This record gives sequence, C-alpha cells and structure tokens, in this order.
Amino acid sequence: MKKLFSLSVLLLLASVAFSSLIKDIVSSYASQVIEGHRIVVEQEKGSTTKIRYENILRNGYNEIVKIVAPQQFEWSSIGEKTYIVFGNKMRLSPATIVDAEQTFIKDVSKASTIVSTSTTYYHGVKSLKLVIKSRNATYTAMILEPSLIIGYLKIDHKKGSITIDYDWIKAIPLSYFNAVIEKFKIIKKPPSSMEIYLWKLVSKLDNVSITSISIRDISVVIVSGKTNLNKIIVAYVFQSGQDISTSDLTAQFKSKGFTALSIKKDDVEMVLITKMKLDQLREWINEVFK
Amino acid sequence: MMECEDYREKFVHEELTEKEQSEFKEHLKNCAECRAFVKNYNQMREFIKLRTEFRASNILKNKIVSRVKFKNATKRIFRVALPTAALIVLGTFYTMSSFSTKDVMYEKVALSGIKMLNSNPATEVNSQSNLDYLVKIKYASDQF
Ligand SMILES: [Zn+2]
Repeated sequence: MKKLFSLSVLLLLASVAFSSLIKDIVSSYASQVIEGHRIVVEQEKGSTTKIRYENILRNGYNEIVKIVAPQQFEWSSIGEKTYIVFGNKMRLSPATIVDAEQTFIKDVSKASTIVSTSTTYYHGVKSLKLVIKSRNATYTAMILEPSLIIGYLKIDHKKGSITIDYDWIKAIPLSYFNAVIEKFKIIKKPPSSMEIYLWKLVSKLDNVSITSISIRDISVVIVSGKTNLNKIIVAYVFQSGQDISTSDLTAQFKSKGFTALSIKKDDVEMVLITKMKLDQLREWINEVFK
Repeated sequence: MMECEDYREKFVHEELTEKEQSEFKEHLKNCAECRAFVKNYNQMREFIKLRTEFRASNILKNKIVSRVKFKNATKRIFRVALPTAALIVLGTFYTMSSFSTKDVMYEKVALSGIKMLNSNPATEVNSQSNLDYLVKIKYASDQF
C-alpha cells in the first residue's frame, strides 16, 4: 500500500514536471522569432510521398513560408489567416494552409503525455529529445537548448507520418521580421466565388490538374482528377454570362456515352463529366458542395 | 519482412546496419514506391547541399535558383505543349473554315475533357493555368 502510494506521488510529480516542460515549449514558441530552412516529408499509406524544401520566417504563429523545391510557392499565415504570396502582394487564400509544426504546438498544449525525455545532440546542438503522445498522434521532437526552438519533429498519425527537419535555423530580431512583412501589400479582399468553387473541386480530387483554355472570348477552366473511389472526374468551370451554354456542352458528353451534369453556384457554372453512373456523380457533387 | 516506410527513411539517413542496408537494396529492386522515395530524397538532399555550400555567394545562389526554375520550365513546356498544340489546331480550324458552327466549337471544347477522362491523371503537381496555386495549396498543407 505504502509502495503504491509513493509510486503514485512519484507519477504525479513527474507529470507536473512534464506538463510544465510542455508549457515552456508552447509559450516559447509563441515568442520566438526565427529564420530557418527545413525539409518536410509527408508519407501516407497508399499515396505518393510528398517532399518539400522550405524557407521559413516566423514570429510566433505568424509566418512566411517559401517553398523552394520541388515547385516554387509562397504563402503566409498572419493573424490566423492564410495568404498566398504573389510577388510583393499577399492575397487571402480560399483555403487554410496548415503547418504541421503549429498543429503540434496546439495539439500538445491541449491534452498530451510525455512518453520519454532524453538529452541528445541535434546537428551538434544540445537538445531535448521528447516523445509526446496525444489523441491524434505521436510526436518525436528535438528541441534545441536553451532556446527551445524545434529542430526536428516527426509526427506519426493514423494515416502516415510527417517529418520536419531543419538543416539551418536561427533566432532573428523582431525588427527584421517586421521589415520583411512591411514590404508586402496585404490584400484583404475575400477570394472570388470562382476560386472558392475551384478549390472545393481541387481539394476533393487526387492527382488533380488545372487547365485554363480560352477560345475567342470564352474562358473555361478544366479541373481533372481522381475521386477517393479512384474514379476520374473532369469539371468544366466558368464564369456565368459568357457565350457558352451548359446544356449544349452537357449534350456533347451525353451523346458520346459519358455521364454529365451541369450545376450553377452563385455566378459560377460547372459541367462535370465522368464514366461513373449518374447517381454516383450526383452523390459526389453533393459531398463536394455540401 | 521489411516495413518499407520505416526502413527507407533510415536508409536515406544512413541509419541502417550493413545487413539491413543490403536487404533494403534488394527490396529497392522490387518496390517502385521506395525507389521514388529514395530518388526524391536524394535530389532534395543534393539541393540542400548546393544551397548550404554556396550560401555565401549570391551569384551562385541565383544560379541554383534559376536552375530549379529552368527544370520546372522544361517540364512545363512538355506539359503545356500537347494541350496548346491541340488549341492551335483548334484555332486554325476556326479561322480557316468559314462554315464552322457553334456545334463544332462545343465538340472541340468537349474533346479536351474527354481526353482527360480517358487518360490517367498526373501523379505530381501538374497544371497549365495561372490558377495552379490552388493545386499548390494542397501540396503545401499538412493535414492529418
Ligand atoms: Zn518498399
């Protein structure tokens, strides 16, 4: 009985110490101003591995992420809003972009348990190696000492894993971060309905591609990709009010034996074609635009 | 048997024992997914090495960036070439034939979609549009 008591006291003490460590990491993250280069590897069972090389400029939860390879793309998260960077302009994104590192910070600050801690060296810097479990994932992190900056993070979740590996990171003055931000013109105009509906399609399709075509004064965007049931869907999307009729276009596909359906959302017209049955297509459309 | 996902990461980080390493090399011969992973990772590593080695020199840095751009551009040329060629053919059709009707236009517009419906969709970021940032958003976001 006494043994059990002292064991539970020990466990209690341990968990108090652990949670204060998490608190320290979380509060430190919110006040860090850093510049870094990192490699992000995302693996999911049954899909191709994604690898990106990114340059990060971060002040707490605000950050500018510049993907350098394999495809150049720059985005930012400022005041919990996602922007897409076009040259020296930032435009509100039709979708939130999630940085797994920030998911980690938010997730462990809610409810999590430290499974193990040890001291190690990461790229020659003395670090804390932590394994933290939450309801959603198991995190393996290398936290640099004494700055508590994240040098490495591996997230094992139900569907696969994400690894974030900084090959270079340093603390920078806040004035530098602010100077960079000030160079951008932040456009707070909401995304167009065309962008919003295109995003709905893109987000629900795998191996997706977007093609813009214009013939005479008509411009049409074609989105094509695979549904989660591995069926190909091609969507013609265009601004209404142009000299193109959805019923004439739909008739083209029907006459060739394909399933086609046209829908209108706000000022956006869409014609979706597939080899699936009409009911299945209708079900998919309902799922995408619910 | 090997759980390839665990092994391939250790392999690229050179964390496998000699025996495991030779086993994994055998496995690579039969597993396209692992081969793609190792290839991608090494390319990326190479890129990082270039960056860190030459960070001091801006001229070289610019060269590296332009090389990456060039690579993307060449890939893009191939991707754009086919549909563009199709459009050019389409365009000349309109200007040349005086009896072209709207039906013909619909048929032609429909054709590009049907072609996509009959082909296997791309397995990497692949777009010919100024809206391709929508596809990149997906690539940049880490949801789980
Ligand atoms: Zn494999």
